[in-house]
Parts: sequence; structure tokens; C-alpha cells
Amino acid sequence: MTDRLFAELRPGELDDLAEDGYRRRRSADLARAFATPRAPRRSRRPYLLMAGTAVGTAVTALAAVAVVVITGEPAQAPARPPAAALPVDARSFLLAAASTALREPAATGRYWYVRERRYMRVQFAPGVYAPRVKALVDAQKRTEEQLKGDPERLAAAQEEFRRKVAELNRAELPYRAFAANTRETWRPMRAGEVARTVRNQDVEVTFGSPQDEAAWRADGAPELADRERETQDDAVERAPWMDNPSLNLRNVADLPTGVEELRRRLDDLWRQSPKVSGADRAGYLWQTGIDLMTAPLKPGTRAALFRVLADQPVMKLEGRVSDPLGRTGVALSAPTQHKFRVRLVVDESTAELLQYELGSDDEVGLRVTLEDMGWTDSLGDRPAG
Amino acid sequence: MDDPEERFTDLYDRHYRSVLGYALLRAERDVAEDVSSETFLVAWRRLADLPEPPLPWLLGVARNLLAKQRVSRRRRQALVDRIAALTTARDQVGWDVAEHVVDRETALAALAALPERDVEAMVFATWYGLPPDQAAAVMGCSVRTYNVRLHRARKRLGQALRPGDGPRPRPRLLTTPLEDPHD
Repeated sequence: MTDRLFAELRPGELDDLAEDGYRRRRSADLARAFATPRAPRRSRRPYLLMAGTAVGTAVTALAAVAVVVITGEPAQAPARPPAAALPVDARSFLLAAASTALREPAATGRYWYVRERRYMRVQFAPGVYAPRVKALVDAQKRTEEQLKGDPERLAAAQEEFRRKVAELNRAELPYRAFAANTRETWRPMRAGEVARTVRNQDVEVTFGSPQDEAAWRADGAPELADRERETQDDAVERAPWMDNPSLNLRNVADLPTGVEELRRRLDDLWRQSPKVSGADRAGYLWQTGIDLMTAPLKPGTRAALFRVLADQPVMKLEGRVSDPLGRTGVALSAPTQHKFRVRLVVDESTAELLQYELGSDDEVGLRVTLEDMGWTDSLGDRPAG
Repeated sequence: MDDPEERFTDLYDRHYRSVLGYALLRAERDVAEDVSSETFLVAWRRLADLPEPPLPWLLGVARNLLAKQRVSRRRRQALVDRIAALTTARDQVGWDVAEHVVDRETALAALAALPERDVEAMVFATWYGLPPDQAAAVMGCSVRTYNVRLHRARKRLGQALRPGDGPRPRPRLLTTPLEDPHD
């Protein structure tokens, strides 16, 4: 009777606080451990003794805690959950993320749903660019008609046309503007089923500075983004990822779960890649890593992917950041060729990719915030929870 | 499970909450969390030497770390004060529903009258379900000493909680703020 009564004196709050601490601390604690050398195995001793000696090694670290405790004024300050220490480097963070990924449950469904907020530098005003391209094409048609039967001048005219198009494509706006929109996709797991993409939702245009905005007005204030929401339903089989046309929603679940096997597989994929994005090997690996992090991988493959990325050199841990949805994650960045930089923000507690960015050191070229991802059973539905 | 990282992650996922749950009985939240994190860092360094089952060992490390840091504390944080501080209305309702012979406050007051180590012996036996040899290891005493403490705690608590039998413990102020004094 005494034991039962005593058992019921245990405050329920203990479980909540322990769970909360566990969630907040886990990622940083694992990362800190993995960055710390382990002691070699000792000969077996009674473990009481061992506990005593082990404590000796941690006392120095705790001295700091003790100092903090005695300096403050007692009571009254509001209880704020203490922040966990940041992992020491990108590698240990990614190793911890690998462990976390392994813990997340595997799931499946009929459609893989992704909602992303895309933010990018505007290269040209669509309303200005399209008519110019059309004018070039029309003029070229007339020229080619006239030059029929003169292969030499025809070839020269074609060369001139290509040069003009390239020039038009290279031309940048004389001001810095950025466009943002939301895109949702439902990709079916079964071949032949209808996929849906809803583009151009909540379109917003912003400028680099008030001067940029003034320059845009002076330029006649052209429309800088396609604002028409567009829903596209079709059953056309597409490769979701440019760099890896052989991968699709069905076979990503077959990617290896072993680190070495996945590394070899990614090497093969790199050799087969059409290299559409023109990236170097490091750039390819990051781009493919991002693509796979937004795909329905097996937890084991996701874990292996983090471990492959952890072995990439020149990766930098930038610190904790908040994304536009107010979610907190750890930012990592790595340079690729041509001064381009890739930056990832990963959730510490779930190892999910929250955001990625491609750009130079001083400017974002493309930033994608992954607002939601998961399985649904019908088109138009969003994942539960 | 040969991979040390996987083994450690598993250890952490299984036992972190239990270790923090104990540390929260001895220290405020941020110190308790720091101590738990430190405990697992020690476990990582000593991963090759961890005994089976590992929980008593982990609790023992946490207990020693807490004892070290408590030396320099201005105000003693008694175990029973921490229990009172962590008690919420939810616990009160649960207690009332169970229709115990004494109210919760009286039960806590009875605990406060016991030697701290005796209460701790009850915690390991009842809340953690540790057998005497493991609980004794955590507390750094012999199994015999542990059993004496546990027996004494049960006996005194049983006496104190029998209504109208023997002297009732004097009520005392049990509220210690949960807030961190150095936030």
C-alpha cells in the first residue's frame, strides 16, 4: 500500500519535461559525442568504481555549470527551456542527422506530396522577354525563307540568330528583383496515374533596394512574375530530377541503405548523369542529395545519404537559423564550382530538409523552403498531421 | 549494433528520458539537462566498458555529477521540495480521484520528515523498478545498506500515512519555485 501511494506521488510533469529535454537536446548531444574521442576498452572492473572514475573526467565541464548556478538571483525569473549546445562541426551534425533519420518511421501511400515556397532572382520580365524572343523567331523565319537556295548565307544567318538569342538570355535586368511563389506537387507511386502540379500560388515580387524599385518604375514597371495560378493534371511519365533521369518515385525506395553501397551507386549515377545543371562532382552530389532528401527514401537510405554527405570536405556549419515559417534548423554550406554555394537547413529533431539555397556568397540565386512533404491518398489532399 | 554511433544513439534514445527524469528531481531544469547531457558524453567515452543493463550505471554517473554541482549551491534542493515543485493540478486531480486515505500534501510532508537517502531508495525501487543490487549500485552503497534504507522508508511512511495513528507530521511549506534563479 505504501509503495502504491508513493508511486502516485510521482509528478506527471516529469515525463513532459523529460520528453521535451530529450527532443531539444538529442541532436546536439549526439553530435557532440560523435565529435569526441572514445576511450579504449578497459579491463573489466566493478562498475561502481568505473562510475566514479568516469565522473572525474566530466567534472571540469561541470564546473562551468556550477558557477552559473551560484551567480544569479534566486527564483522569480520565468522558466525558459535552455537551448542545447550547437554541434561542433558540420560532419558531426550530419552523423547525428544520420542517426535521427534512421529512427524516423518508414511510410508509404498513393501520392508523394511536396509543397515548396520558391524564391529566386528575376532574370527577365516575362512580358518583355517573350515578345522579344517571338520577334527574333519571326524575323528569322522571314530571313530563312528569303535565303532558300543559298546555304552559305543561310548558315551564317542561323549562327547570327543563335547569337542574338544567347545575348537576350544573358541580358540581365538593370535592377535587382526577386520573385516568390508556392508550388504543390502530387506524384503518383503507380505508373500511369495522374500527377498534379499547382504553380504560381501566392506570388510576391520584392526588390533588392528602394533604388532597384525606382529603376524598375523608370523602366516602365514591367510585370516581373507570372501571377496566374495554374493547375496541371496529366499522366505523362516524367523524371522528377534533371540530373538523374534514371531515378523516379518508385525506384528511389530501392536505393541502398549501406553507406559504401550508396556511395558507389551515387558515383555510377554521376557517370550516367547528363549533367544538365553543369555542376562539378561536388555540386552534383549536393544537388542530388537535396533531390533525394525531398523524396520518399527508406530511413536507412536517408541515414546513409547523410553519412555520404558528412564525408564531403569544405563543408561549414553556419549555426542555428529560423526559416520563413519560424521553424528552427541548423544551416550547413559548401562551395561548388564557379563560386557557387549550396546551403542547407536541416531540422535537428527529425533530420528533415527545411530549406535549401543556391547562390553566390553575397546573393541568393534560388531559395526553396520545403513547407510540407509526405504521403496522401488522393489528389488535392495534403498529408495529415 | 557493432557500429558505436548506432549503439550510442540507441542507448540515448532508450535512457535519456529516464536519466533526465532523475536529474530533474535533484536540480532545476537547465542544470538537470546539462547533467544528463554530460552523463551521456561520459557514456560515449566509456562505450566499450558499459555494463549491462546500462541504466543503473547512467543513473550513478548522473547522481555523482549532481552531487558535485550541489556542493556549490547556495540553497539546498531537497528531493521532496523538487517533487512538490514539479507537482501540478493534474497530479492533484489524479490523487483525489484515487481517493487515498490522506491528502497529497500530507503524504509529501511525511516524506519530507524522512532522511533524504531513504526517499531516494523509494524512488529507485518504486519509480524506476530497480532491484536492490542495481539500486545499491546507483546509490554507491552496499545492497544491505540499501535494503535497510528501503525498509525504514516503507515503515515510517506507512506509519505516518495511517490516519489518526501516531503523531502526524507537521505540515511545512513545500513550494519551491520551478523557475531557474539564473535565467
